[in-house]
Amino acid sequence: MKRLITVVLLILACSAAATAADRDVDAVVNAIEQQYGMHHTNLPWIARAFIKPALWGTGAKLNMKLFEGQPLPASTSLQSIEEVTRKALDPSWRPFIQANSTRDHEKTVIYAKGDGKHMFLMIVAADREDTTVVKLKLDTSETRRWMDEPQEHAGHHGEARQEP
Amino acid sequence: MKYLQAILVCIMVLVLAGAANAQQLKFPPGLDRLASKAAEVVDVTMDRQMLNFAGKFLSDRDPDDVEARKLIQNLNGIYVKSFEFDKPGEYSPADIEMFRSQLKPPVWSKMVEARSKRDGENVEVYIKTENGAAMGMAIIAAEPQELTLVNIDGPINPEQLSQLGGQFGIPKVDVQPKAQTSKGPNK
Repeated sequence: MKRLITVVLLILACSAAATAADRDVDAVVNAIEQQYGMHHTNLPWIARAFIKPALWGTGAKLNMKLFEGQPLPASTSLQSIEEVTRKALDPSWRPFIQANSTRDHEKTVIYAKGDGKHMFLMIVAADREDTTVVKLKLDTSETRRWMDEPQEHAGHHGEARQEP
Repeated sequence: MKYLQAILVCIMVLVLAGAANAQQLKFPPGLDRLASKAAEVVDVTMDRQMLNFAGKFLSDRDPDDVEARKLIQNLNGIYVKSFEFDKPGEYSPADIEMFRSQLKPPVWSKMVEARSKRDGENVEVYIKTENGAAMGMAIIAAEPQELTLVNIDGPINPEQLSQLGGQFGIPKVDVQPKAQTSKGPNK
């Protein structure tokens, strides 16, 4: 019974953290909603429950917003997504990667910034079915340790956390 | 008089900054035309700050990573533009020339040119020299269905290029010091 309560509390904590406000993510999500007339959905708790172990030991935090079943309008260019993202973020975010695949109908814009200890990535990805906004916070030293010894750290160290 | 001096200094700084900026290697806007034909387009922009962050993710234990980190922490930026096409013939020599035309002596000199008639691959590596020191590198890697342009801004020795090959979208290029030939791209 105690174990069940613990699991429920963990899931609730996970859900609460994942839906908590993040100024950057909210700004990008709002900008997409306004520009393209879409409405985001939060990631289902079951998906969040799977993401958490996937990030164990990496020192990474993740905040994801989905526009499930809502592709961007077909005429949307990569430049348009880039512009919407850039305007939504403060100038400390730098353009990092832009990728457009007409073959796979995928468009990806990644902005990045750092504070010395952490690196933040803001990823806006759109394909034929969905649009996704992800903010990833990487702890440089934790991530490097994890890359050096992925199995050791997955087993013993670190806690993946949903980014508030 | 002091004000006049200050204004003159400001003007000189602005002029010098403008001249320095004019020497910066750019991806010509005309290349955007290729984006509509390409099946995949990838743009990577890493300024000095981004390179510093990226360096923190490189391993302390792997000697190659240690060397790569030392190298990128001195660079001002790495800029990569890559196009992948579904069929050959989607880009023309004129498209490459838009980029190549900036790589003129005495600042830029061609260090390596490798052509493979069999595979249709062509790699050109240019080096930027300032006061006798290598201060940048440009790579043009052209294949029938793929075109990659790279601008590495900052101090880099030709031998160090292999450390960056395969990272940040930079094609792997084996550069022999003082050699005029290479193995060509090895992606």
